[in-house]
Amino acid sequence: MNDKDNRTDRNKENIPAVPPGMWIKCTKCGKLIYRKELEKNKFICMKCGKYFRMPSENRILDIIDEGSFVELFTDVLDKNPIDFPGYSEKKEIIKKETNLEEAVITGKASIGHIEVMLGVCDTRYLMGSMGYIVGEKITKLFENATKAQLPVIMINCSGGARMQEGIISLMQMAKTVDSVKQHSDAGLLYISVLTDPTTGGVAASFAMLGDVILAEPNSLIGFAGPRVIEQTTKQKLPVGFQTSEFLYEHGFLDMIVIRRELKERIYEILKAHQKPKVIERKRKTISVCTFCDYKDSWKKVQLSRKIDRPTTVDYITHVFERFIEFHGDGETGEDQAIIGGIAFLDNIPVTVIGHQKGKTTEERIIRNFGMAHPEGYRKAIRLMKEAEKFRRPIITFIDTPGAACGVEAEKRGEASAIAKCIYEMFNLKVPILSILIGEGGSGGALGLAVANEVWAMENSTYSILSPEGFASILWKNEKRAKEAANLMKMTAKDLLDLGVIEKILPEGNGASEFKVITDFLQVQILDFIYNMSLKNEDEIVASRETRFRSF
Amino acid sequence: MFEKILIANRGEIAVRIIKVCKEMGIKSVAIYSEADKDALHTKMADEAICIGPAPSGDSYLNMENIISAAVGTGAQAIHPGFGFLSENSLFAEKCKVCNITFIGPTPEVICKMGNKVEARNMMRNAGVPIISGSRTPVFDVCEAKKVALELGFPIMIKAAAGGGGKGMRISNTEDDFNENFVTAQMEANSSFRDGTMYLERYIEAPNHIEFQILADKYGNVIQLGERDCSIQRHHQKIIEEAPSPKLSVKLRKEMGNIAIKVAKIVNYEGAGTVEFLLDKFGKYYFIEMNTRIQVEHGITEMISNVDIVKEQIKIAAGYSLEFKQENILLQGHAIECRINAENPKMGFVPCPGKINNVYFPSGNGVRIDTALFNGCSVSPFYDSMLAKIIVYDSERKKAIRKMKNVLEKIKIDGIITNLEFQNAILNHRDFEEGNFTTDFIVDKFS
Amino acid sequence: MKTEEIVHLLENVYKYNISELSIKSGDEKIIIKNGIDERAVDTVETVTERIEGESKNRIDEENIIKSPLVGRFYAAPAIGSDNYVKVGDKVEEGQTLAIIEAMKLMNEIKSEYSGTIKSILVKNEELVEYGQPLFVLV
Repeated sequence: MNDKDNRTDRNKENIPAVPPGMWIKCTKCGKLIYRKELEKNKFICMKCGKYFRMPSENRILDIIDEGSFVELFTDVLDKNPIDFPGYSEKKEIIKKETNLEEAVITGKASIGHIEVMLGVCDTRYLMGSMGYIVGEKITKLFENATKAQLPVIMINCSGGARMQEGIISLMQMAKTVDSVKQHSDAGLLYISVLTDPTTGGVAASFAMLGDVILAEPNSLIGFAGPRVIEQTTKQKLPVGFQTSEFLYEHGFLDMIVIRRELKERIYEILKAHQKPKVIERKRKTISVCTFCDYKDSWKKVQLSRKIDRPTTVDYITHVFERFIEFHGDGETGEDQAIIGGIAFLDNIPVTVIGHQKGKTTEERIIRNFGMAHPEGYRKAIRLMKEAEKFRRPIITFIDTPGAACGVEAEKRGEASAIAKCIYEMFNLKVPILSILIGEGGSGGALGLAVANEVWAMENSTYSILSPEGFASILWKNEKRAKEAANLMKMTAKDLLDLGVIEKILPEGNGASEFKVITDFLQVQILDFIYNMSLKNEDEIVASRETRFRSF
Repeated sequence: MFEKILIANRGEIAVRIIKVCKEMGIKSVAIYSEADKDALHTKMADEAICIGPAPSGDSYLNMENIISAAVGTGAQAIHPGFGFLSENSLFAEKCKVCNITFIGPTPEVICKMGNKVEARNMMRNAGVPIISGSRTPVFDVCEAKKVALELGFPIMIKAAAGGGGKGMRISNTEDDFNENFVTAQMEANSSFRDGTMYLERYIEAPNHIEFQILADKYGNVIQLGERDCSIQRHHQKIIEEAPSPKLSVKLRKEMGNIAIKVAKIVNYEGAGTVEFLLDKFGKYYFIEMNTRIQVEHGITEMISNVDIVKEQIKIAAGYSLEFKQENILLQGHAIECRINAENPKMGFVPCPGKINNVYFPSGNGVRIDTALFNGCSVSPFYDSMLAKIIVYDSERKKAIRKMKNVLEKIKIDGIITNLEFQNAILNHRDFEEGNFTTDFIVDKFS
Repeated sequence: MKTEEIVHLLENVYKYNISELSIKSGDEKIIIKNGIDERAVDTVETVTERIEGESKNRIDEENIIKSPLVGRFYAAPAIGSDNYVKVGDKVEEGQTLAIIEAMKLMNEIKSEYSGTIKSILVKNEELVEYGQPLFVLV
């Protein structure tokens, strides 16, 4: 017996065995995953694609330029502000288990050679909750970024404020928010990335205040936790409640970004927010397209509504480069009838916004035929203010039969939204150019067209309302639309004569010459931007006011 | 020495390894998929563990089930054979983590040699001749064209993640470059989700020459001579022979030394194959190193009298090589024909099915490596290779004659095979005269 | 089948702790079950039945739970605790029947059917292979 035991011992080295902890089980598909492989795969299950929470050190390596991270603010002193029993001991244990000093790592790094201040939360440390140290480190991060004129990127995940630090935790919310505000007031960029989970006091403070808010798919994001809501309201929560997708639909996220593309998206956004270079006058030679003038206004109305007419998206993709679309109004919803974001024109970042009618039947339904709801106009205001903060010119494309007409639109305040859009556009200190590319229907069109200059494509229209509506109100007969169209003075030529627009842009033979049209447009817009760059902010605002005062 | 080895493969190579285990007094564990319940390797091993359903992704590539089987049966080592997990560095790493010896090189070496761009750069830096090509990956057609013009035409466009001819194009002139590059990159993107490309000069009508290497854990490296594997269709070898009719004694020695150098550069251990292209001017270029046993290892065994599989196991168990280079005496000529269940008249489509009756002749210098038996089935789930017919004789001519005789007597009833096609190649005058390159099949048989 | 042959079989079933054995010869079928049921600990129960249309239907109703992976079979959640199930237990679909350990992870084997455990085909701590029958439910 003894002899046998010894033999087993001697052979122990040769016995194959699986060491504990090297494999983990996917909580979604149940497959066994080799931990290192999961790590290499950015903590995404190779089998089913489930996102695992990412440890902060891996997250940092994943989004920064190799070797560029310098950790900062590690000297914040530990506190047990309300002398919570066992708290210090618990922290010691977690420190040992996770090798983490606290629930956030802060520092300086570069992403695509752009310098940034970076904070990354870690759920392994008390669910990433915010106590004094977390609040202090984040506050210092923003304060230092303000001083150094650097953008801030926060990768957030947290259960909320830290219970063990009581009221002092709650105060961190206010403290951090003020540092975000000062950073923002200095005209600097803050990108907030929400990952699973971002809730409670962190969500209700710095996490939701990014100039740009991104989220990983299917992350839990909200204020009160779902269990708390269920218990309090005795309601069964709907599937997908408080997920990233839910928030996106309700207008709170600019973008949902898959993990593999996070670094690329962050880099693009950083690039789009860099101060524009000195604008130079460029003279390109372009082939000029010809006007095909129709005398008949009704014919123009029909052309402006033609189903295969280029839409805002076509102009954005052909005139500009590297369009980054942002979503949501930050208040109630995301309206696909208006699209907007940042694009580049000869490497100058500009904000582009426009009505989008859609190209296929399905898309037209999703886009509500380019008839925007209040959230669409609110999104436009949000993006225009963002453009102003970063001194970007704004180009808008007008193509709508009118604003959305319906119960929901009225409930959420369509009139108020359009009014505020007009109001805010007068305030903006950056140049605005509006281009009528199809139908310019009434207030829904004007809502995006309070510009320093308004241009019209040759076959576009702009009117108080549709000729059908006009005929029905004046003559109680919709069929007299054709007659109305001729009286309404709604064609590009009429608009130029009335001084409502500054310029008519030729369309040539339409789709076949679209490249020529957009090349021409590109040069024209660059000229506009150059001319406006010669004016100061007050002059820009004043010239817009004067323009509309004359009517 | 190991007491028990798990063989993570199927078919004739699994059978071959089990036989070696038996010769060495090592217990064997076979793994099998549900489709291979009655396969020869399943029956022949001391133990057999079912590791998954028929599709290889769920069975022969299911690393966790294979490792569980090894741990559960107490197998101290895993022999991966060829194909499947044999060149998977992650699998080698997982074995290591679980205290199981992976019979093959270390995960690091597999990884290094698996990355073709990195392996090429490493060899270039060490002075090993390689085909001139782009030093860094290219992504963009304009940038690629610049590189192509520097290198000269014709040029080969390859996907970095490539394999099996996917994402590969030959551009003959500057004019067809853009088109070829874009289609190759599109193919690479859709096949591997990776559009990283590289370019290299295209060697016209070369011979594929590979050297068999053995290296132990103590830095001893020997080579067992070359194999000529130029008879290929769709980049798949079908006839191999050793030695190559194209190599002079001097060139053989020179290339053999380079092969040893390649193995030493990466601290290779185990059996490996260093592959070269030999152009019509007698210049040779390193292309890659295979970090596993090759299908065609048998012909080298015939002319060198070394059992490569046995050596693999001994090296993995920590034995040092018993022989030095000067002890290796290469004698005679060996040829291998791969008999596949495929239809040469229908573009070599695989033809699985049930084999009613099978007969292989035997004789002096005839070796048949197969897993076939009367009444067995050839599964559509796996490779279509049925058997490797290996003959040995004192000189090439005699070996060819012997092979023809053997092929004539082989009977495989029930499915379509490439036997006739093999015969036609052996009877071709250019083959008989040793006058062939990798273009042989395309030139003479299409 | 002769009586002494059956007795011999019974002895072996008991000796090697075989949980179930079925033998078919001609139109005669013998099933021997080694009940681990509380009421019949250490008893051996034999059933002889004719293979006809009727009895075939009964066999069709048997559901077999197979192992979805290679690993070690554990009948109980922990050493010293009670087994998840025993022969004769009624189980619901989704109920845990056993665990199979692989890569140091415990994988619960859940019943795909509702029914009664007719037999348990593997022993505790045995290595099970993919697709190996573990439980028979009726």
